[in-house]
Amino acid sequence: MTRVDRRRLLAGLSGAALFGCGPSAVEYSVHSVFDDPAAGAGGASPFRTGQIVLSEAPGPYGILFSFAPEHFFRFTHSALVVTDPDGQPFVYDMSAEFKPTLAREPSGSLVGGVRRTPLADYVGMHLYVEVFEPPTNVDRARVAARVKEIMAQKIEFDAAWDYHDHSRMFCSEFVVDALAAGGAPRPPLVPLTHNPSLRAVLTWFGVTTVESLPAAALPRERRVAAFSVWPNHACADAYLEAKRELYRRFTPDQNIGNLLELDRYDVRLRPTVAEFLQRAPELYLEARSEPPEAELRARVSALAAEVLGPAGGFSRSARIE
Amino acid sequence: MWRAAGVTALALCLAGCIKVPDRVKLAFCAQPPSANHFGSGSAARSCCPGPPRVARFGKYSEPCAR
Repeated sequence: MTRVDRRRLLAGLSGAALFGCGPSAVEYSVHSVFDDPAAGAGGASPFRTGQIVLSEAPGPYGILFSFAPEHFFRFTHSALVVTDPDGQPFVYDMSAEFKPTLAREPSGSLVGGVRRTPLADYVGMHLYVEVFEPPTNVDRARVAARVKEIMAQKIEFDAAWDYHDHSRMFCSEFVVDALAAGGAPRPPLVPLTHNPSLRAVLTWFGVTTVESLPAAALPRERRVAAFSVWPNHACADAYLEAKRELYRRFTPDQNIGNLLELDRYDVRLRPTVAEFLQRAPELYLEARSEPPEAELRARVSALAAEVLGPAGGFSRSARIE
Repeated sequence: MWRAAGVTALALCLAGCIKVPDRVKLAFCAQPPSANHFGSGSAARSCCPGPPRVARFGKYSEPCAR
């Protein structure tokens, strides 16, 4: 798909157009903020089966789960592109929703499995999405076959993030399993946090494993596209840098309650954290080009000092993975 | 990891089904400003109000008060 065609794909997404089916309509405002010059040459679609989709959804959970790994990863959700017979791209992901049940813990009320969503709709559900080529020499037909097989088997979502038990799967386990069917290597697992307060919350959600596979730990190749609710890529970078700043400040002595609060049975961002995440991308609303990384970090750090307080002497390593 | 689209559905759970244990309530407390890296320390007062209080169905201790 050419750049123009991509815009046509997203024509209903840009500007505040309405997208809907039947009586309901969902309003999306999403921008294509990156086109790989090497992708889609000759008018072909840049989206192919086997591509990896990494994304950030709005809300407190993207922050909560960013803090779970012992290293910082920019994304908290992963999925796969599989095209249908006429070439239209669909996103397949393993996800779950809270459903009212009689369970006494959240994990018992998490219900989900493989979901199939048109790419444009999937993009519209997120703050920021990047699409990458899979590792080289992956057999894409086998990847697609494995995705369909998992879907046919009705494998359910794994709230415990247990990578060793494939009878249930979480998002990146699903992606790795499908890519492995096509010959891709399985990445090493990543240790999870030792922070006592976050551990208590994760345990409440059903996560007791000591290592798992964060979404952005997936091996991947060239980025082919990026979509954002913000008008340019710099805004998205600023948002992800703000997440990194929060991670850096979340030292082992910190309570997760410094960032999130319980609201009956749900969680929400504390006002200072919500304000920081709101204002960081707004630093670059008028940007015409990509700012140097050092400048972007300095501006986000200054905003953090203003909204959250000075960083002082505390800091946690937050190397980007 | 898992995503929670429509997370507010959790709040729709009938009262009395999901229980929030004290250790989780404690984890969601904000620390005082001097120890809080996120500028949310003043919220600690509302989270940890002090002595135990009597709730509708018996004695109930706020986790931070213990």
